[in-house]
Amino acid sequence: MIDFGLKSEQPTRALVLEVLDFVDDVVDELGSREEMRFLREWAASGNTGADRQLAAFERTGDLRTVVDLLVDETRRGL
Amino acid sequence: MPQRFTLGIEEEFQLVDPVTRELKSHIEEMMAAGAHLGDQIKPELHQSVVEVGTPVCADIHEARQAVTHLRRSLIEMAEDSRRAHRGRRHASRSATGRTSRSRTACATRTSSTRWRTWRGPTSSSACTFTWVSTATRCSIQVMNGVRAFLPHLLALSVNSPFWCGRKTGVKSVRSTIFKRFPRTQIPDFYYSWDDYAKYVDLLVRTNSIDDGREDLVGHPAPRVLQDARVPHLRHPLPGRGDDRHRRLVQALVAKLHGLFERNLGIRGYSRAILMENKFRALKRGLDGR
Repeated sequence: MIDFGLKSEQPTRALVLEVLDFVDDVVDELGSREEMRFLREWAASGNTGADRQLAAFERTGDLRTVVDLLVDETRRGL
Repeated sequence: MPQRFTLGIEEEFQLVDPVTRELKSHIEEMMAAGAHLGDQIKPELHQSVVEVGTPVCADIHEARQAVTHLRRSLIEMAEDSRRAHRGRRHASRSATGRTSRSRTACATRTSSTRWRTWRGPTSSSACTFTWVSTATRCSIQVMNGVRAFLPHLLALSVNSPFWCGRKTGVKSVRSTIFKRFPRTQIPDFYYSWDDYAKYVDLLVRTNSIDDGREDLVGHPAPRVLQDARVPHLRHPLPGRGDDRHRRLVQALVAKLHGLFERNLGIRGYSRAILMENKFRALKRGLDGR
């Protein structure tokens, strides 16, 4: 994405990490420190929901696998 | 931090047949089964989509509990429906965030009053909204500021690479589909609350929107504030990912609120330039540049 301050293209992951830096001084009061730490690790190297769907389709070539993934993730953690 | 930044969450779920994995028009049955949820459950534009919304929640923990309760309720209702119709074709339905195979034609419209007069394009999809309250005196400045981060939030949450059973080449096709709806892109910059209020008043007077106040249960938030939205599509992250994403939204609002309270702020960018980043985010998600 575009870093408007630098007026240059930057990796999106790096700019997302900058957003996490931006909010860092308020997350303790919100009780979200641990979750932001997870987001930081995830933003650096994790996959999005779209990536997981594409990977599921690549494995099987069957879109029903993608739907099953979404159903499974809807239930996860409840 | 005296400002509490209370939250409200809306989630939309698509209803799919677990045998065919196609969309199922099942909203009437879900509304009947979900009567105990009161106004926390609503129909959406299509009969294959159900929407649930939390009350105003004091903090992120309470919001998570409310969301979990609503999701469990929906899943139980879908399971009950499956048991009740065992043995029939298309016997069961499951609540899910998004299905990728069914064509728009499969999704019949509801008679929901919100969409009763809509004559525009229809496309079945589902998303989630995170509402965070701020003091009115600086809410417009906060909304202006959040606009700059919508592409970043989208990059984290892209979740629709398929449409009508085909790979689209982008990671959030929903973002492209919703261009056809009014008030769905990154909003304009507003100079003041009065500036924004005039905009809402015009929309109400011209029947472009209803009364400008609805949606979140028990929370008369100006509906057009939805414009400061990005398709927070379901399951941007695995497991408790939605919760973390919401926490980031809340943190952004809290950060910006704190800046504006101290007469600080960030630059207000034009919609045109922010849309450049939104396009990059919807196309490649986190892997772009």
